[in-house]
Amino acid sequence: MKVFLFECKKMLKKRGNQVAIFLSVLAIATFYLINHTVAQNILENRLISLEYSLTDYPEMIRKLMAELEDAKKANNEEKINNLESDIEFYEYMLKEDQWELEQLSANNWGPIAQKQYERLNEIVKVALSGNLVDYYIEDQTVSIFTLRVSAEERRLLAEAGIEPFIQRNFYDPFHPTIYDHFTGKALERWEEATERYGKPGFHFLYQISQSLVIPFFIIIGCLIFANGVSSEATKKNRGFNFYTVLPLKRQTLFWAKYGSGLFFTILFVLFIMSVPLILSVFTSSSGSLQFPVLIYDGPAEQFSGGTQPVLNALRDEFHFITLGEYFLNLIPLTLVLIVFLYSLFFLLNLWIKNATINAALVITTLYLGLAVLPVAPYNPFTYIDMHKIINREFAVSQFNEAIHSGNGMIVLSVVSLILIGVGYWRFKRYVVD
Amino acid sequence: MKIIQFEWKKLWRLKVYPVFLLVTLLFVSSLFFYNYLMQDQITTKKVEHFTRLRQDISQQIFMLEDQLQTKADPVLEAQLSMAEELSNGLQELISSIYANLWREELQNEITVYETALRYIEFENAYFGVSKMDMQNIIRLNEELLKRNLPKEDLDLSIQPAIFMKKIVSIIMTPIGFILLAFVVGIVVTKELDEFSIRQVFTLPISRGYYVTGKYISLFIASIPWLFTVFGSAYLLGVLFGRNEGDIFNYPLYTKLDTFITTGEYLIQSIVYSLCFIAFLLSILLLSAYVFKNTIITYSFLLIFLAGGWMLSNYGLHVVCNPFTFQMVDRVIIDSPSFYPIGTIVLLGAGSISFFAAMTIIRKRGI
Repeated sequence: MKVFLFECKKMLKKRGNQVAIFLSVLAIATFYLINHTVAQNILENRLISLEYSLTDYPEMIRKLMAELEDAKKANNEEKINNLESDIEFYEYMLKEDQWELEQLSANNWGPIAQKQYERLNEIVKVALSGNLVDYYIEDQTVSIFTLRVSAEERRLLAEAGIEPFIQRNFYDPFHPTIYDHFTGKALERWEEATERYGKPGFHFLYQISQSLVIPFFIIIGCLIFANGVSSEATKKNRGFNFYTVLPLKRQTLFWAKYGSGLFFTILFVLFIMSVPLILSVFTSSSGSLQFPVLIYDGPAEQFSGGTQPVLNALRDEFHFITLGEYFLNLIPLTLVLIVFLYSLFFLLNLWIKNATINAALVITTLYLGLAVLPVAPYNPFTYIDMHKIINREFAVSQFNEAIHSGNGMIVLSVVSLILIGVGYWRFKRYVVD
Repeated sequence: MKIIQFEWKKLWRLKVYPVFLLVTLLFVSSLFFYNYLMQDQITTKKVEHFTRLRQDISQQIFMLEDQLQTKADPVLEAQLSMAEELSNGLQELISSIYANLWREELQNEITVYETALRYIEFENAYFGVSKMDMQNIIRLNEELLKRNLPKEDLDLSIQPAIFMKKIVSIIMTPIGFILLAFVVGIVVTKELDEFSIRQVFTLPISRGYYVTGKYISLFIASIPWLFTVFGSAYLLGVLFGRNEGDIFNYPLYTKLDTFITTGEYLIQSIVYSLCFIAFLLSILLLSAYVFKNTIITYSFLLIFLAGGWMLSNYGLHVVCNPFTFQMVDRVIIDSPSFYPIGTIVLLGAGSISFFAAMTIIRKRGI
């Protein structure tokens, strides 16, 4: 234990480590603030457009009224009817926009979500009755699955009255799913309309967990803390030799070196992830853990069947879990992933003394593992994209029920144990040249 | 000159650099081999796409026939006749894909989309490709026929120029550049970590001269890597790929719906890559001399590049942001107007950080 504490103290006292931690904190804080600014800008643009409508529509209605008066004087029945329906339309739009402006200004997200739900649910009903979606992006239809998911998400948001993610399409805020197959210009427009930005801290964490930001910071953590042995075994710094003259077992030293680095890597990743949460208290709020997170259920009845399974946008199932439950799944998987990546880094450090080369090797391995190796339950690199494991996107798109976080933890743990075993074997014979 | 040779010798003796070149060569070859094996998949992909479109049309034909049984309507009849024409066109197109007759395939695809453009004018008519995309495909196919070139799958092609484009889109990215910086940067950070730079400064050469020599040698060291990337992709394509027609005259769509030839694309990608490497190496030198620590330098570089990439994704995809150019393929295709001003921006930003690095090492020392 004392050796472990000694190693921890050394890591904390290294000026290089302190600066690297500071830079990482600065990076995640800047990222959060930029994301927050973009979300705020989209929201403000919406408010400006609503305010503009409130001055523009009455002006239009006044003009139409004057035209209606003239039409009445001229007794032009057709024009009167057209103008009356136009005025009715603009009055309705004015009322709607006025209502939305009031709700948005007061941050009343529940009623807004309710209205969005009603609109989306109407589209879903029409689509389900005729098996045909009547909603197009550049002449390409939105998947009926996406419509069902989007409507359900809004219903849950309305029930809980939670602040949603900010996206450019305020009118029909779709939740993008794997069932959409847009191409060309439609894809560009769809991506732009469904790009989501989280202002509250928990929402931002959910947003970054969907990209590979967490593995990125794990790599930075490993780069800082996983070279406890090699940094003391260079030509100019042979501090490792010091241990050989102490009454210390190699086993104790191994666990102290390995454990201290791992301990700090875990702390580092958790600390980095907590920075947006702390910042969000000052910028907006930390957000609600009741936020609904989509989980794909896929074509359950076909998974075990002999026929070739296919995704069916009309019949395939889905459900939502809360953001709190999502994080409860994410945290253990993140911890096991940290152990896996750290063990890989630590092992490489026992052979290659240069941390840079190790980092390059790990980045190359991860890149190839993600891009080239097939998505499969036994492939440890599959579990790097943790979001797609937890929301079962990989399981459903690959029609493989074995791809889930439980198996991920087993596979990553087994590979980590092998890496630790090989590392221990190497460490026992480790000598500084 | 001697200092460049000296740095080169150091880099080569580290063995990491030759291994890096070898890994790059292996990666490009594996990708080419993969594409080579996937050639049948291109036909399958195309057939699946057009079959799905035909199924949609067949469904609409059934519906129209049903409607016409209840009441006669000349508009519906016209729509039905056009739907049948479209379905037959799609069938001919699928046959030409199977027969591997690329000229007929291009012509049939034009015919299908022209018919589809007229078909979607009818009320309730649906065709699974957007109007703008159909117009763009027609333009591309006409251009290909004019240039006497077969159509290529941009993902799976083994035509040398298109395969090189694919390689640019994978390697000339933040990951490729950061790996290069990690490998060549060892000669900078190692002597700072091991304090051997102190011995260098006892030599009768100015610090400015030494840093300049180091920068030039690192830049020159990057050229064999670029040569490996582009050269291997080209050679593999020429030796084992498809070389029909003038491959460097293949038209590629930019985001502005204008054409750029593969030749122009490749020239721009080489120029951008060289300029971005010049910028990246100057940042590497600056951060190495500021932090004087390998771990901090590379953590900083990782965060810096990832942050720059995030910024350009968040709307700062502008010509004055040097990080815009780390996604070489994206900048050429999405923002063709950035060339050649982008190269000046990169060289300007690179010069500033290089002089900052030189000033730091001259004033502050080690």
